[in-house]
Amino acid sequence: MMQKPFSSQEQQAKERHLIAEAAAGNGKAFEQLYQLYFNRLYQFIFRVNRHHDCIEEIINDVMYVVWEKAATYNQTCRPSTWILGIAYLKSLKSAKQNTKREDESVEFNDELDYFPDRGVHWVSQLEDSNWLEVALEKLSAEQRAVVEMTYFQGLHYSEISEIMQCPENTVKTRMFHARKILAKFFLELNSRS
Amino acid sequence: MISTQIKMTNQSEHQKAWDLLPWYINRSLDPAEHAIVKNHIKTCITCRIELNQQERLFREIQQTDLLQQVSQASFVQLKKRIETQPEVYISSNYDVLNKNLIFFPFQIRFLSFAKYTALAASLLFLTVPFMLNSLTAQPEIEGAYRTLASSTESADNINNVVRIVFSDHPDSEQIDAVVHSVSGHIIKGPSPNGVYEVQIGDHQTDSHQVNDAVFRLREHSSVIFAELAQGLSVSE
Repeated sequence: MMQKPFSSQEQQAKERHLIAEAAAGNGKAFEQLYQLYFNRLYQFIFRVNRHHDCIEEIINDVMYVVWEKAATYNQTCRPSTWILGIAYLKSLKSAKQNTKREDESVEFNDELDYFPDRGVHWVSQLEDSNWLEVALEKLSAEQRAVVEMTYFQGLHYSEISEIMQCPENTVKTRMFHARKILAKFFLELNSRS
Repeated sequence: MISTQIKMTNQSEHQKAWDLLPWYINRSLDPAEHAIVKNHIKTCITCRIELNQQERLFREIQQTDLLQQVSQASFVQLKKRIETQPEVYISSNYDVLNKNLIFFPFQIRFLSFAKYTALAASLLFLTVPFMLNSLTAQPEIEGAYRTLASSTESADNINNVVRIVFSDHPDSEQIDAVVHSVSGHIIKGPSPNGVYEVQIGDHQTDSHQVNDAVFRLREHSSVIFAELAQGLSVSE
């Protein structure tokens, strides 16, 4: 199985060094850290809040905090745990704001019709090419965050609980419910094939 | 009792292994947990099925191109908006679109026409002074229109022509005598109104001689009208 290069010890050491340099005011090091994390944060934020139009703004908010608080990074946790923790809070806040806006909008309330348990309409959306996105859409932001951090970021559930600031069992429970919802999509895909 | 305990232990182990499958797949479990899952899936068909599904999900998330995801998500949003639009609204939009397609090129053409017409008028306006200047500077064509102020050779010829009206219908000898007395000769007449045109002298005769002739004609008793032909109406 594949392992993301950003979970290696070498990569973590490099990131720690860049954060330390950024704490000392090294703009070049901070830019390097920004470039290293841009795609990773883009992926993560997109998975959580599903609104790609504000992702760059959230990334810059996250990295601004990293720049401002670099000196407070205690080196005990992984750099990714620290940075993704900031990103998670920012994404969740943005996702909740977006959800509130959508609830107030009549136009977008019909998105709820795409949930599997709201009818059979979602089945027509289940194309092989985008089944994953359709499936992830049905999860809550917290559930998507757990799936994303597990399967894309390669994090252990203890790290995820640290990022999400919740008990480990809560992480497992969120993953449990996410898997239950995704199982419906697997069932549909298997019946088609 | 013992079998119940074994069953509960197995159930607990199964649940634990089942919960840890995602982290077994991403290889983040510590060795002890990894061993528990590894041993369990050897004997649990349910967990092996779940493992296959979660590995598929793992591969999909790992391999999916983010830009493709973004474009797909954008298209899903667009599709939702299209599907949620009322049909009337769509058709009205379609009509507007068609109208735009039809009229917009015409508007462009009309605007272009107006623009170029205005440009042409401006250029014409600018060239008017030059055109007028060229007309006034142009030499007068023979036989063309001229004003009273114009001085031409033909005008010189009629300067010495006098129109005369005699009283009491004198005979031709008397008329010839009067005309010859001022060095003139009849060139035209009499008209139905009794008007004679008499040329005084020849083309070398100056205006003073002509005026003197007109003055003497008027003093003659048989002449009731004598005037230079120039400046009189043709209708006489």
